Amino acid sequence: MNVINAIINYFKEQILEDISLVKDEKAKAKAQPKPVKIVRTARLRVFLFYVIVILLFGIAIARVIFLNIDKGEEYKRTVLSQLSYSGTTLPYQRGDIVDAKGTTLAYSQKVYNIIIDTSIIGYYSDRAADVEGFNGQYAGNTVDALWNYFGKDMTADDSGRLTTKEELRNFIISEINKPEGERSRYLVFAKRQSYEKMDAFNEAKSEAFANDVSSDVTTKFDNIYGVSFEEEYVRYYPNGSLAADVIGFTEPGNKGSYGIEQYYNDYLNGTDGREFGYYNYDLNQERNIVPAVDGNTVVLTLDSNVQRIVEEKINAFYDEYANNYREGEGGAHNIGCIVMEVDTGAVLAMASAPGFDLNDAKDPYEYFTLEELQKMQDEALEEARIAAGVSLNAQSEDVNEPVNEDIKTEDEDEPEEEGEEGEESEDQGFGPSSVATVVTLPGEQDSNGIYSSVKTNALATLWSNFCVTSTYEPGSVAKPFTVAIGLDSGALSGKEEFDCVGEIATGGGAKIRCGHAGHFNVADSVAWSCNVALVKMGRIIGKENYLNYFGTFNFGQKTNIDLTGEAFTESLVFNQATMGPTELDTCAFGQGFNVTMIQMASAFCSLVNGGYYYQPRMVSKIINSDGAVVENIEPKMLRQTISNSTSEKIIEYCKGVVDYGTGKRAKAYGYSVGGKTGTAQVRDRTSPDRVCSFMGFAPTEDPKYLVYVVIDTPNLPVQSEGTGKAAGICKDIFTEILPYLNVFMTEELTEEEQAELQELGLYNANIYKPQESETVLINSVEMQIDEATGYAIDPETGAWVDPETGFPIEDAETLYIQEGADIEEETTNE
Amino acid sequence: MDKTKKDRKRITLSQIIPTNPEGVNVFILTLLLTGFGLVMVYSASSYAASMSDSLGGNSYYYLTGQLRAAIVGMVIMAVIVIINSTFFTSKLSPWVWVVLATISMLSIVIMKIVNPDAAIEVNGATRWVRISIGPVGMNVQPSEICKMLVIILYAKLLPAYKGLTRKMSGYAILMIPALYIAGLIAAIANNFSGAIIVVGTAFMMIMIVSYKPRLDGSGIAWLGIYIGIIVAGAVLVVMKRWNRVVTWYLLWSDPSKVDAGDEAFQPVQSLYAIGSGGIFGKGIGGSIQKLKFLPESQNDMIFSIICEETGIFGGIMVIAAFVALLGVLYMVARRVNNLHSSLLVFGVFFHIALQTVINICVATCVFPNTGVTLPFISQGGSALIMALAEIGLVLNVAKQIED
Repeated sequence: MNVINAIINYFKEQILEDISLVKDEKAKAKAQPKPVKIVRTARLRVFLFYVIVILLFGIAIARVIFLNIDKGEEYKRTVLSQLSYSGTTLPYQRGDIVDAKGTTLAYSQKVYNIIIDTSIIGYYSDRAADVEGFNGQYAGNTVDALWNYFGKDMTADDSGRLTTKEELRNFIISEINKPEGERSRYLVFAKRQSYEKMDAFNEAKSEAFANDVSSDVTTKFDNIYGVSFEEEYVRYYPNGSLAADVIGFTEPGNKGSYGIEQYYNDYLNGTDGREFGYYNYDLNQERNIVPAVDGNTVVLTLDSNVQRIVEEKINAFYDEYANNYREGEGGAHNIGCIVMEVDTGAVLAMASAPGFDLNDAKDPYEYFTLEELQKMQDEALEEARIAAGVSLNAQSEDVNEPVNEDIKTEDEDEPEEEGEEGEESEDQGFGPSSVATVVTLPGEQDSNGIYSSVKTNALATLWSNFCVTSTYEPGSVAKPFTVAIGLDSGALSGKEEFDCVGEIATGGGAKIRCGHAGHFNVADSVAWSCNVALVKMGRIIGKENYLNYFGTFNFGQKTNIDLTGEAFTESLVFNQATMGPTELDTCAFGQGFNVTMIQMASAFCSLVNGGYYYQPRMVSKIINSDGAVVENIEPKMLRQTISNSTSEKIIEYCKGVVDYGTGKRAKAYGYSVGGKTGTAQVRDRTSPDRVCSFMGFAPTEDPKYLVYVVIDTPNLPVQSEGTGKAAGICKDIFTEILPYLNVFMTEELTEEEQAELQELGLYNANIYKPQESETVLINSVEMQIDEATGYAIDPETGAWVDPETGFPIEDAETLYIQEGADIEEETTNE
Repeated sequence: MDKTKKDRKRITLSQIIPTNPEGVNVFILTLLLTGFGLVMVYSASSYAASMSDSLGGNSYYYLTGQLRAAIVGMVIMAVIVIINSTFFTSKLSPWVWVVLATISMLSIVIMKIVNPDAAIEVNGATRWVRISIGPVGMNVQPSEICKMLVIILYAKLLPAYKGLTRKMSGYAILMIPALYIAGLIAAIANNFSGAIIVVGTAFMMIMIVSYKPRLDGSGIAWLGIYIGIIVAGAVLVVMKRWNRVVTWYLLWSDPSKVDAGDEAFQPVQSLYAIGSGGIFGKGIGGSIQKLKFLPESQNDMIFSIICEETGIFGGIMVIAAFVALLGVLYMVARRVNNLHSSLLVFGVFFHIALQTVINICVATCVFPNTGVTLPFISQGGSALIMALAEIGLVLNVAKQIED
């Protein structure tokens, strides 16, 4: 205190003195010897400076006080909240995607990237730098240990220099020899290593350290430094390409791309957790963990068994007809297939061919040959060249191509004699060679000279979901809609008959052709897919009715299915203004307007389920990481499209298509199938390209499932034959999925059919029993008594039950076979 | 005062430990500030050091270095005090100091060529030279040495050449050595703030001895040139550091709106530290900002940590200590009637005043951000050693005080 007092006193004295000095400086100046005068002047000036310094300090102090008073509380909070935002991020686990039966289709797994920090190795070898060669030893030990555990997964660094152990070791040594600040701190040794491997490595490392402390024994994994692990989640798709279109994949950072992964991205993603250190009241460092919230699991309505069957069938077609007519192409441009539950709008399967592997979605060379990419690139370059040419010769070219009005549709099982195409109008002036402009495409060229934009486009086509993204003219599959509109609006009674002479002139003067001639009632018009009869029906129905019902069936609107990339078709259907007499005529048999597969399938469901339009859906519920249901997505009935009685008639007509009409090939073994064939021309009416399709549903007694197959541009010499193939695919699918879905057969099987089913392993309890059997009530379930054995059949499981006791019969397996043999005998007796 | 007389008669010890009240005051305040600096450097740096892989998790890393510098500085201080007070006023040519400054700066360039490992580069600027004597090595920052050399140089030059200030052109001539040394510092060490301190100290020293310059025709012309240079320089600096100026403006209006990712990060965090301290702070060692968020918390921004840990009270006490130190330096200069000696003290006064004001005003965002350390307190061996050496100069002068 004395010191402080002394300081203050001195201070006071001197300052007072100096202030008086200012006053009488002039007076004193002459009296003082020269150097002293100078010192005094200097002192005075320093004093002024000192005052300025004190003023500035005063401002600083004022600022400190002001900050505390004004912002004190706010800053205290900011400081604390900042602290909690820091620390290590604990990544959340993205939710799974599972199918209706609980089969996992997509999941995320924690993996570890192994990082080498050479500055840490360097730090330790610097400390031991007196001993020659320590750099090498520390680097060598670390590399040896890593190599031992992760060696085969070593990733060469970015420039690809480091591929062997020796190279890595030498690189680390060269880094250590650099000065401290320049050493590489982030060298990825291996990526995506499993927990087990990482754990084994760490255990060996800690053992080595333990040995170090306890004894002088140097173990093999001594002196491992600078190795750290980065956590990461990787998305895996255990079924590879199964339902690839539906599921989609993820980009780094848990960003969903395509399909469910994108549509339900927010549900699937969780919240990152944090781990941070802070000081507690006693100034001890504490660690606190806010755990990550894992993402939700999305449960699909999709059944992976049904999906697998569907994919098998369409891929079989795609592969079988690859290179069949057009060399270097698959079985078709695209094959799409949707299986839906008629009464709920739930999608059981949705697939397209060609598919792709979700685990390896981004390598174009995996899915396209170099020649294919080359071809695509040439086409793109050609277009770019033409575009450049057009812009050069814009005035001289007449771009309006005359529209060829000559429209026809064909159906399978029909002779195609009159298939004479309209006159050629390919007289567009600009050939590719007419303009010698050098054009390039966006993106960079890879080592094969393929532009990245070409690859991106190729992959985008592959990734996009054909069933919801692509639009096409539906063709004759639309005919049941026309009939339904006619019946439901009252314009048709169902008793009309129509004459067909093979062609009919439209209002616009073009001719619509038909593959046959004759006299058809409504049912036969559908069964034989008569264009002329349908045009006549359309004319009776009229434009107003047509447009009204189109809206009801949701054509031109999105179905709002929960998938990414659904096409919006408003501009691709007719409205009040654009629909003229010609358009009405073409609409009647499904040409001139565009639809997506999911639109067609959903609308068709309403035709055969009594007229109830359900919004199609892929997801049935969302459950959180603890297994609790977060959201149940119930079937959503949007509107009644047609009456029950109209629906029944449509079912009957469609049954006729398969029973005796154009869709005979769709008849599934043991089941009564209804459906409609379709062979549509594409936009360019002169093109031989066709979109062949078959819409089937079964069983006709009470339609439960719908299968819609679309083959876009089949690789066949006569493309319209593809429609029969589509019906065949539909049959194959029904034959396999209906027994699996526990639908009882309603029709007897022929011997060949039986043999085929047995071969497929589908010859089970759902087989149709021709005997009229008694029923008995066991355990309050109505069960049929089987005459051959005298046992009751549990309709749930198909197991045999003793009617007396109600207990199941153990050796049901053997009895199935006996029963099968009985049926065989009976059928041969007939 | 009688006591002083008696004490001066003692021989060796009185040569080292000051005995007159002025000297005692300077010495005690210096010890206080240095000691407090050691505490704060440890408090501010220990966590970051213990977390740093490159420092091997040694939480005492910065404290050890600072303690070593304090001891070396005390020894150098003692040596300077013992030196005959006529050494700095002797016939030794003033140009010796210019040559010494040149050599010390050029040592960086030479080291870069001869022994690159000993030229320590941080963030693209080579500011340190490693001097090793056997196993003991020390990083020396030549620009800190230059600051002291400039003070000695001008204390020697000005009494002889102060007449130059009668003409306006004389100021330019007198500034040449300082500008030369500042140029070396800026060019070789890329140390802009160090150069500013050197020029500022020399300029203030000239100003306090200057006569009233004649404002004749050429005088006005020269004045015009000076104003032109100052304005051009200011414009240049403001343009080059425009971001900092903008940031500074934003910080006055609302710090929370400043994006913390850019240049504003450090000043914003500094304000958070100061503002969250309260009256008596979070206690020494209690800073949260030092854990991660305040870069250079043991260095340029140590005042913020002081305010966070010891509150408004601690901040005012530190400022008061500096005000008192400057006051006692002023007293020392006041008590000697020898222009040369008082210029030495004033030089030290200006050096410490400039750095302290700039550092504290930057920490509190009164000034835009520049990298100037707080004398005696900020971590940094060379700066501490040279500051103690400068105090040695002052104590040396204080010995001459007679009644």
